Amino acid sequence: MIFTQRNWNDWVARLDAARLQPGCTSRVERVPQGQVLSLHPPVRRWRHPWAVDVRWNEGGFFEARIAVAGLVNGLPPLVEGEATTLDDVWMPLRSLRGGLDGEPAHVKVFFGTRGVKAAADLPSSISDLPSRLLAACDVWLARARLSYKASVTAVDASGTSGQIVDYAVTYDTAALEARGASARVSRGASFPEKQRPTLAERLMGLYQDDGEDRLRVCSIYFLSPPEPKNAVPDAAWQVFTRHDLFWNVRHGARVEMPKQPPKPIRFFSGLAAGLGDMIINQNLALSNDLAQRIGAAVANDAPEGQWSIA
Amino acid sequence: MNLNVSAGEVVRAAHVRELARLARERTYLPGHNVRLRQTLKGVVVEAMEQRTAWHHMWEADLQGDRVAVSPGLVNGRMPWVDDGGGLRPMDGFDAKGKEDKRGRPLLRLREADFNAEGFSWIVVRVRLAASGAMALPEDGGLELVQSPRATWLNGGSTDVVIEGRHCGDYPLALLRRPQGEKGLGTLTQCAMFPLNHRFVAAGEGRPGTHFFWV
Repeated sequence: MIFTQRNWNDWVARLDAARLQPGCTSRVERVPQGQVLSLHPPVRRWRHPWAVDVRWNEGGFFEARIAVAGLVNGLPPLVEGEATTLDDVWMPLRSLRGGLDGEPAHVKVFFGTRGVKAAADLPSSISDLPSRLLAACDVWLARARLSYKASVTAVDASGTSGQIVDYAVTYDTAALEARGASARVSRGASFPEKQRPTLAERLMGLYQDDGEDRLRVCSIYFLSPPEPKNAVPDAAWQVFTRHDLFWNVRHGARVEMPKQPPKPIRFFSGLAAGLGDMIINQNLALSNDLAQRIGAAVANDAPEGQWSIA
Repeated sequence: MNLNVSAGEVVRAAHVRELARLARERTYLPGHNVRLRQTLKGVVVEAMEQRTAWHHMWEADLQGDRVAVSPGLVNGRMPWVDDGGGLRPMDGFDAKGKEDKRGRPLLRLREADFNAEGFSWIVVRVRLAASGAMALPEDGGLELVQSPRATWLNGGSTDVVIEGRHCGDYPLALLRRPQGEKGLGTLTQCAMFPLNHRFVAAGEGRPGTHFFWV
């Protein structure tokens, strides 16, 4: 075979031109078998379930939506009426709290270093910052279930050395009937924290259960410009969202009445002062044993639900 | 080596060998995020679709009337999928680690498997062996299926007997379409982590329950 000079050099030039050169989002590796071309396109940021977006509404308020639908037990919770987190519902945020009182310490420091006053535990070095205001609200999940009430009845107090006491639990479906069994997204000035009742509170019937389990989704903070003229947030205020929930969740609780009403627990208190003494004097072996039995029964009867990651 | 030649210069065997080496080197291979197609006029480079930064277990992806689910584990075992050609491991590899030429099995979705509210779920279904423990995946013990029924709405999944076998479902992804409409709707991811499973048999007026946890 005869090559002309031009033909040969043309082949060489073509092969040289076919050499891959990496650009700004690509990589070329030369291997014995050839050239491996890889691309690194801009990676979309992963957003977790329950990620919240906030925007200013020209109607004069901020509004929020669950931007990445979260699921409770594999279902989207309701947001407004029959709409769900899948329906891209914007929720007006009209109910706000103000200031740093009651905020966690790290939130106080975060906004204190940006000029929000009235945080007593802030370092003095930031006192020269122009004053800014803070408003906030919370978004949370709620799911209704059976509510309950414990009652303690002295059946026979005629003895001088002790009492016969009935401990009984009654269930109520009022919360379920009013709010339904679906999980809901709620928002308000403050997340309604629920204190776990003590055994004594339960036994003495002092605890009023509201028939609902709640889980905070996020806190939304609104930071004013320096030296604001108006204490009410407007479009000039900055929004900060602090998420508390990042995963789809499951919730398990009693939503059906027990087929048979729980039997009251009847016990004989050896202490003349009755049940109160029993709880208080837990150093007594007899009381401790009884308290443990009752505690186990109370825990079994309590319909409070559990949230867990799906 | 400079392969260019001057007029009258002899092209030697070394030139030809070098030219062949250069030609071999110009073979293009697809790397990360790239698909290559050889055509008569050259190589077409296709950038793959932009993806999210985090690829988790059970990641469901609608592909026409099928759904691809990235491999996940229940009790350390991988579910199988029936794509119409029989049950196969969901990652497309056999027990010896050999890749199936048919690729990863995709679950075919059915419009009939939506409930009245417009919901349907991609679930991992655990079937029990006679011993009460989870059966092996190859025995149908762990399978991806589409289901219109939510049996897990209050914590544990209620045991259901299907074709004589005790089953429990766990939702991996939710399909939702507007009520009264047709089609496969939109898909929302539910599960992202490996799962554990335990079955608690029925007793004292309580149905058998499958408990799943992360």
